[in-house]
Amino acid sequence: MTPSILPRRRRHVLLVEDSKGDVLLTRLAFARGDVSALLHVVSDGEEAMEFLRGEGRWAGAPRPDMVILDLNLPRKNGREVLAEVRADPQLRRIPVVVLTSSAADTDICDVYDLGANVAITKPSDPNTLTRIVMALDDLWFVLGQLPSR
Amino acid sequence: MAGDENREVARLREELQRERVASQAAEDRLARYVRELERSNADLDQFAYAASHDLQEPLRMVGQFSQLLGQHLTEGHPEAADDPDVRLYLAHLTQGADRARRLVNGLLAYSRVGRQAAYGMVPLGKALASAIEMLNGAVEEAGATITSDELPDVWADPDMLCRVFLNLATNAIRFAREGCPARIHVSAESDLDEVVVSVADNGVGIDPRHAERVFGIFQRLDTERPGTGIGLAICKKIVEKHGGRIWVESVPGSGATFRFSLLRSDPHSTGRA
Repeated sequence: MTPSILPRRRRHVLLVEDSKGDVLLTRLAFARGDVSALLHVVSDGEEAMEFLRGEGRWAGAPRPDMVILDLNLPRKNGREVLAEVRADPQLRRIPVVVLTSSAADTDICDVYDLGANVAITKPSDPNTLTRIVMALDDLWFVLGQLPSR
Repeated sequence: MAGDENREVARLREELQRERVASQAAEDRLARYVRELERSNADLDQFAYAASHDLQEPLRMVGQFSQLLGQHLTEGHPEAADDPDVRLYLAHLTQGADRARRLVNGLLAYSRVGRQAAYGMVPLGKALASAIEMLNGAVEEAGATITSDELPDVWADPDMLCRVFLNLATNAIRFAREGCPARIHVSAESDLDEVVVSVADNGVGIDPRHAERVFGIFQRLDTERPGTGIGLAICKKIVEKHGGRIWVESVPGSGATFRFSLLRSDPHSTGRA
């Protein structure tokens, strides 16, 4: 049962991830989980900010409905990206999912302090990753209401 | 005669001056060694943390893609997936990656010991109770029992102290004798400055020849049982951070008693030697 009766527009997800392996795994998880959102990929924090602001080579890029953010990134790390997104009135409402290889409590507390919507430790098997993207899709794009801007 | 005395005074003064210079130099050297040692310890911690953190990534890749390969073969190439060699190789890949990841996690946990310490007076009994709670059913599942005497307060970080009990109890359950559920008893003896805590079990015990080695990092005496060989190394690091010692006494075949010493009060507080 979907809360909305209007046909849903295509959702856009921005994946910020520098590991090619993780990008491939996430793409596979979207495909296997039958998640219809369109996945855009950038590989460092500065490019992520350019995409989000539609600047440079990302002029005209759609405003993502969700950001999936890795923490260890070249040039500008995930924490900095998260802090900038939350400080920007144009971007602050975008749900940010932090996918991190760390399970350390201090790291987890850190990202919630910075305003992450959820922190998830990168799983060690592909089926769990599929479950994760299906759950994100279900909660944010099907059951939940997204802000309009 | 006055000239002789003056010369003697001048000579003594010179000697005193030389000794002063020498002792100052020795003190400087000592301070420099302490600084170097502190820095190299911090470097080592940093190294272990970075190495284990960065190693997790490629290991996760090996694990994930070997599982994907297995699933891909099952779905698309059943004849290859049924090949016993293929299954064996894939199983080794997956298990190897999994084990390496657990080792790296252990190293990470070891390097993190004491990063966020908050020392204070802690009731030993309370730390033991939280450890039992964290064992979360593993005690009942193994049919084990944990008992304790009246336990005093000690000067410690409560989380680290709980971790010591948790690791020792986990080991006692893991190394129970066949058909003989673990019975663990915790007791403590206090003297003027110290409390010596004993965690005694009725398990397989440890050959006294290995009594030192079991506290080394990744040291395992029995590779048939689960574990990474990091638990006792973490206990040792924690106890030493508290200014104490840890050791084991055992009669192989009838149990082991782990003992560790802790301080009875804050060593930095006034009114104590």
